[in-house]
Amino acid sequence: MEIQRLISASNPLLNAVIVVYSLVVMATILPGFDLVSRIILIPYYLLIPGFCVTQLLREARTILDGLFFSVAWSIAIVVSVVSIEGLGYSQLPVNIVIPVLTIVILALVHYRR
Amino acid sequence: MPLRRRSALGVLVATLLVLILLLPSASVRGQSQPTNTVNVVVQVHMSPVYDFYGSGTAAVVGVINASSLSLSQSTVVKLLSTSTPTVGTFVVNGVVQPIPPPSQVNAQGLHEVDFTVPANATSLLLTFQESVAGSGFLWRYIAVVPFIEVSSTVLDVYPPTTTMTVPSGTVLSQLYTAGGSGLPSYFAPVRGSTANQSTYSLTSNVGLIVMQSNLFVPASIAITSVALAVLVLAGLNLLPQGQMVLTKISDLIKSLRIPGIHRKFRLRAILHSRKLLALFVLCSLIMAAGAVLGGPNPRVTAYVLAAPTSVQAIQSSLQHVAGNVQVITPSEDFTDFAVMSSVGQFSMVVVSNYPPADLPEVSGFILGSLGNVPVIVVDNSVSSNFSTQIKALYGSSVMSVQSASDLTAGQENAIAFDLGQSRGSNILGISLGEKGFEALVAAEAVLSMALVFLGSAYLGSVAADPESRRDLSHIVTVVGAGIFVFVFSEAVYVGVSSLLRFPLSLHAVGSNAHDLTAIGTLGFGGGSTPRLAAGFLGALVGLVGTEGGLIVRKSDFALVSATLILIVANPFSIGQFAFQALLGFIPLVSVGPVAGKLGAAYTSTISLKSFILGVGSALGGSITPQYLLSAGKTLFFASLVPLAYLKKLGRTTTAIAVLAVALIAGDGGVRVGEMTPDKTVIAILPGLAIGFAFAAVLLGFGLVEKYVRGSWRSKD
Repeated sequence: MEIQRLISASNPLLNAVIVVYSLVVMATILPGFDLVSRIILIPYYLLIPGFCVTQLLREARTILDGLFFSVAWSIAIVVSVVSIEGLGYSQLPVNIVIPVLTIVILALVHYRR
Repeated sequence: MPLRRRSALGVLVATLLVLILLLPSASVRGQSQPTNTVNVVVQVHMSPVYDFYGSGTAAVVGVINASSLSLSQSTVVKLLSTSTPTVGTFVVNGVVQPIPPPSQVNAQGLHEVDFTVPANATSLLLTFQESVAGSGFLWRYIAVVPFIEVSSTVLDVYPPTTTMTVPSGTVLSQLYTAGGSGLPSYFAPVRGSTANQSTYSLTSNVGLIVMQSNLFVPASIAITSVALAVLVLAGLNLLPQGQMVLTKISDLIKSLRIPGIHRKFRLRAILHSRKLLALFVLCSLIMAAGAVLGGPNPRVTAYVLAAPTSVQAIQSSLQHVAGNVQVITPSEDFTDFAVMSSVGQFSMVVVSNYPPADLPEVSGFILGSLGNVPVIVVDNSVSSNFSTQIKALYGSSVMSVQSASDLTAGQENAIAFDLGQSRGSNILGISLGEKGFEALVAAEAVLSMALVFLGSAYLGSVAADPESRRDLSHIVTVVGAGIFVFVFSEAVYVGVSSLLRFPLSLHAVGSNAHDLTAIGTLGFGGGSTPRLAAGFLGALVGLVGTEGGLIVRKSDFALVSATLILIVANPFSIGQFAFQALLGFIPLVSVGPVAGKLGAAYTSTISLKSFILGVGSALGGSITPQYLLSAGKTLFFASLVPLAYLKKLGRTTTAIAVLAVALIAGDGGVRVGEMTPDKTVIAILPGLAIGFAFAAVLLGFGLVEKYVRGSWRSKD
């Protein structure tokens, strides 16, 4: 439960960071957006969407649980969106769909508290 | 003569008379056309069988007619059909001719009758009959329209004019092409009807027809209404009143004191995850012990690549060498050659005059695995390119002969010697004989189903274990158990098949193949559907039936059952979609190649498969042929994550999810019979990733249910 309490305590700040981070990721599709390295996408896609799902499902009982579920859900979301994009929905860029989904899940987390 | 046969003969004769009377109009068309035109008229008499699951046949009568011929030389006309045509009469210039030889199966798998029209012919009349099988399922009838083609290099043959008669009161509800694409109803317009029957014209596109009684729709509406009423009652929580009636009936039955009925059922106490695991392993040990003691197959099996007309002669020739030789040809299965040869099914391969047009497709599956077969016989009728390729790859094992159907004494001795060197023997020197081995194989087939059942039940019981905590350890335990069950089951399948030198099952074998696999000896072809049923039931038993398993309340069960009935019995397109999807799991012999490939349901399956393969590709699957991804195996591993999450779902969602997950696990679990461990390895990671995606959908439903029930902010 310790991580749950920790996250709850820093809740507004964490939410704000996730929203800003998502907006930055979305901005990477803009032409000429070279101010930030694309390497920032790696930690985002590795952790953030899954972290929000973990919060929604209240699965982060310990640090290990939180890390495991964040990575597992993130991989599932990323490869699912990439696969759906490959089915003929290429007009939906991953760098828009996943951050939008992340923000929606974050809103649900906030509403469920 | 029995009355039924006499009446059938009467119908046949009457049809022929009608067709022949109709032909003057066709011959008028022939006269208005240039000479040497041929008309073909086909009439199909359907006798639909409306049953939960059954089979029926349709009588087909055809007439080939030409009334104005002028030939400079004799010509051969070919009659091609998917069924076996039997020529009734053959008349040239009004004179009855000898009946042409019986049909032969050509390289394309079509039945072919060749008849010669002499140079002095001015008119021609040939009649033929055949029968086509159909299947009844869920009180609809699925009928295949026979493919019939007449061709000639000299004569101008019109496409067949096909009509179909059905008993009055029959509705043609769905039309499909031979490939399974849906067609609108105007592709089979009504031509006329009498008190007893209706006649339809069938355009050449129509390959499959689903028909139903005109009582089907009212009955469907009635059943759907009842299901809807149950759904509403369950939704309004009014079922307890109905349950009181059931309780009174139950008390009444108990008061009759029928032995066994009044006792409390204690099967749950027997079913426990540890006991199920012990039974699962015990089943595998019995299978392996049986295979060790009774294997290998005493019969020599040869894979013969030759023209269908030559196979019989080659088999006779091989029987001189090794007694009762079983011959398997590409028409039975060629995509599973690698697996069949890997488990040692074939003692020899004979490569002869296989049709060059079909060789590239077949050789792609065979050439790389010929090294698994100890004796390779290549005769002189093989194309030089293919022969050179085989000799270059497997030089030392290849025996060149003049003709595989006419072996010399020296060649027979050489082959017999090589077979003797390479054939395995029983470790205890036991020989069951062919009959005994068949019995052993049938027992192994039954046990292979039991293995799938017990594996799924164990997996279900682990997922529903009441002592397990709802955290990471539970998911890891379920995933670990699932991987163990699949890998271990596949290892047992591979091991037992190798010991028997006879595959327990195969991936792509047809449902009508009886002597290619152990499961086929029970009449199940490759055994996919029975394995699916075993896996599905096993998962249900494990999840709900074990001690402390998931509790599905009666009202939720009623809700889910009513929803299912509402979908399946629905008279509208949703019911049609469900029917198409269900056909994918029913081995309909008559439907053959289009089984499970009908309309919108098939399109949806393809989309799901593409999604799975897309995830697999993103995670490294199918990078090389060695790591080829299997959508089915991925599906099994995908079922593990939702299984682990079942305890986190809402009441009603759990009831729905139990059925859905058991079906996914059962469907994916079918692939243990594929015996391709490399595909299993590559399917695990994509499967788990997809599992989280499936779990997300179920958890989404669960959250909606919690919101509706007001427990949205609960701790779970």
